[in-house]
Amino acid sequence: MTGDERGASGAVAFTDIVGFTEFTAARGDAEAVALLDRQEQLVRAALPPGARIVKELGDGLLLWLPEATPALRACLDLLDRFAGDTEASALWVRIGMHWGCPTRRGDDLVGHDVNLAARIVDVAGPGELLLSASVRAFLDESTCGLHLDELGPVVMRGIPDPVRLYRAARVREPAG
Amino acid sequence: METMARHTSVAVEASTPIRVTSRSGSVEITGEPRDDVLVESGGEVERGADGIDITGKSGKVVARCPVGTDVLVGCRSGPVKLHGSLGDSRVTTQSGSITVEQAESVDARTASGTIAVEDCAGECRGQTKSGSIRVGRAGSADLAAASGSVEVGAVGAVRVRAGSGSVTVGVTEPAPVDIEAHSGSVTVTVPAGLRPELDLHTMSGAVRCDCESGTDGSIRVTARSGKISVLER
Repeated sequence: MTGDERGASGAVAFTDIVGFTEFTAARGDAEAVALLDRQEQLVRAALPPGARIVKELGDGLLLWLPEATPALRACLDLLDRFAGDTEASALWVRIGMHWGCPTRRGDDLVGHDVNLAARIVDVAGPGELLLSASVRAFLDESTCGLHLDELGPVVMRGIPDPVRLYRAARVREPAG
Repeated sequence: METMARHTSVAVEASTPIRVTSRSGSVEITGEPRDDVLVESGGEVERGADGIDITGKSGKVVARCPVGTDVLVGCRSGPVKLHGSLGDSRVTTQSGSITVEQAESVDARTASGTIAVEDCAGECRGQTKSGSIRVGRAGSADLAAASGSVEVGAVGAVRVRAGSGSVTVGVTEPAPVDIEAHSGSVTVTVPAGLRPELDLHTMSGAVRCDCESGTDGSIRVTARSGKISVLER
């Protein structure tokens, strides 16, 4: 944990490997462990300054990213790296992100904001990055080069109120 | 004792989106020629900063809106049915099926229901963990089903991620086709004479391909088990 992180707000993101259980059953533990190692390598390479892997949770990772726009760019880069990586080509990764002020517990992050980010990744599809409206509020959309497609109010298990979610993608340059 | 139906009508400008939230119970929205949003049952209506918000507490939410209205629905359970002609349609439900008759674009997500989209002019995205997905026609599609089948009648560019169900896709034009399936067969039909770039891999099934390789778009299929068929119509 960095000194700047203590008590600060920031982006909490979860990564999740879709179909990891089936992959492990089909290919065995050794290949599954190799994929998890590759996932961690790709994530570390994509993280912007000040961001960190908080912890590993099964086949997913909890990430802390202190700034919204770099966080989004990094997570989209990450999805591109997974899609283009030959070693990780069996991975269908998805990411859910929420902006909040989670409670620090040692190096760990806990609390409602972390739980919400975990629920958001459950809604995401393979290769997708979904984020809550609270992340969007901290984005500079005029310069971030990202397109946000609203999914509307989403009811999530254990979360008292519906949360407006967005699907993030890069703005595509017109062909030609 | 007869209960009087309470209808709420809100005049709207064109392109005003409606957002519907329902804790439980079904949701039915119909896009039809009219210039107001009419809530026929089940919801409290509020004009929000960027659209009309309809909040259902329990029971069925039924509403009618102008043709081409963008509709965003989030609910916990119960089927969601979008009738008539709508704009960009977004539906997320934890359980329950999703049906869309006609929309400009679709994003449909359910944890444990089926998804059926009849006609989507633009991009059709859909994902379900335990149900099947059926799309009649779409401009393009991006679909994921963990354990059910995926069937697309007519589409341009398409990406499908399937777990254990079969995949059937009808391609209408030269475009990228990208299908990954863990188990279950994959069938792609293409117009006669189309010569796409072909990349077909299966670990334990047979591969049948009726068309020659060329530069008319691309077809990439990866199946861990199950046969792959690329057939001319």
